[in-house]
Amino acid sequence: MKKKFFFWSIIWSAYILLAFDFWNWEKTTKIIFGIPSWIYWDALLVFSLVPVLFFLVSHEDDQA
Amino acid sequence: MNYSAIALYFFVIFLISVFAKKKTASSPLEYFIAGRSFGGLVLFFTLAATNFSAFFFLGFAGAAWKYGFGQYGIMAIGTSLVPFSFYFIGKKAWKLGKEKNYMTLPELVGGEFNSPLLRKLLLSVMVISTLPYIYTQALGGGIILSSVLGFDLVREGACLSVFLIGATVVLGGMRGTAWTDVFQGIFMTVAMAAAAFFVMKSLGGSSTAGQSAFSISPLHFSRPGPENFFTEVKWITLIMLWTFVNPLFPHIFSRFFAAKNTRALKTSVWLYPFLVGFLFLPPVLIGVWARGTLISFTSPDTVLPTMVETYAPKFIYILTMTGALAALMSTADSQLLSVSTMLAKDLFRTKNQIAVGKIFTFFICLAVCLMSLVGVSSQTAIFNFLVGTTFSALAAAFPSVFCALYFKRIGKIPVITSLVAGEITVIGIFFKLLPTFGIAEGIAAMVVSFFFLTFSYTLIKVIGKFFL
Repeated sequence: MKKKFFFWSIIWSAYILLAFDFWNWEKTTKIIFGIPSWIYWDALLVFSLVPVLFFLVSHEDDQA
Repeated sequence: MNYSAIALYFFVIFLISVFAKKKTASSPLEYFIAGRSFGGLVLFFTLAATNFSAFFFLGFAGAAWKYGFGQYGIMAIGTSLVPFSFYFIGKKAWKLGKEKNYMTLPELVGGEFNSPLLRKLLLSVMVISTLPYIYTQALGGGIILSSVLGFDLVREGACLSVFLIGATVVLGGMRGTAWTDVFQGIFMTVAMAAAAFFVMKSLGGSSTAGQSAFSISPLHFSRPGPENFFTEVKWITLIMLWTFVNPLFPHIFSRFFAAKNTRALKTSVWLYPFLVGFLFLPPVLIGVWARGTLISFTSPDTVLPTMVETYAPKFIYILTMTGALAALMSTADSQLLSVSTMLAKDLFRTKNQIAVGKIFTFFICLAVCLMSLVGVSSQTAIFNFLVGTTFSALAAAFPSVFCALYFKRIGKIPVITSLVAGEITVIGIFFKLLPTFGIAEGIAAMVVSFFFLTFSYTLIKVIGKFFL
């Protein structure tokens, strides 16, 4: 589980770099379906947190 | 149709509250935190619906209209990181709550440090931070009711809203607010999706709507937005602020105690970004598309209602406005319950805590009603101060809560010093007596708070070692 968590963390960190798109911070970017392309990166970043969080929480035992 | 829709909505909320009342035994544990019984899905919906207030419905579209698509990035990414702190703070709070029967945040921190003073200090910070928000939600209710029902009685509408919200709290307690949150959460999601779909259809599809807006204001399609609003520093500090502050909201924190087990908390944690990713896009799209329509809006908050009223069928407009009411009510009822719970449990030592809680609920509703009738607004100095410092005040309390959960051996004196120093910093920053160096006020206050925590802890250690 820990391996999977770290794997997803690395993927997620890569997304951060790409989604923030620091190199094009000041520029307007390509528009796809009326939405700027960097929004898709932001959305991917958000959705990639689902498996990251899933693996983070699932390596611990439940307590009742 | 407008009256019927609103009446039907309130009837459903009332029915759920009555049903919750029947399932709730007469004990503080049951009334205030639903007997620690929430499973994963209920906890997930109640955390989400409680967190997404009227700002999500009306404010997002308005902010996107002003600042562009950057609003989605900063809000969606910032909010989807919040589950990390939900997990690390919520898990420990749930465990301690179960072991020592804690039901409120001041009770937990005061109890862990065995300090009634710390408990009262935190109670003051939490109550003062939350009360203005209850008033803001009530005002939003007044605006929505006036708009949908077609009368110009915002103040009276606010008064009616807060008493209706209070009635659901008194009836169903925590179980009632959570169950209505599930209904309201689903309702507002459907309403927002329907609004975006019909507006998009009327504007000729997403590409056409986007191109129209882009041709008028290309800067709305850049990440910083017009006037370079979303700077790198703003991104990083705001995202940090939400991550630290969000779990400390009393209405959020009380839900950690209501979880059935850690599994319920885990489920709601990993589901959270999934909902955020979808839910935050429609209001931002509507806000940016509004740029391409050339409609002149009286204020940013009117962007979403005007767009839906103009470009969607009437029943969608009513559905959307009722959805906004659901967003607002699901936050306000939880805030009202959490404040009355804290006042009943942390201020008084009484056997009949439920009755005291209900009395406080009534008096808070009455105070909010009177404030709205008198005409307190965002222009009123004290109200402006309270709203302007809420996030920072909670951020300054973060080190105290963190230490209570993970670093109890630090002792109560550094924690009290840190809390007091942090709150004084918040006031100093608000009145421009202290600089923030461009970072969010709350983060600045939290840094000061952490500094005093470390400094006083070290000082006590040094004094203990060399002088005692």
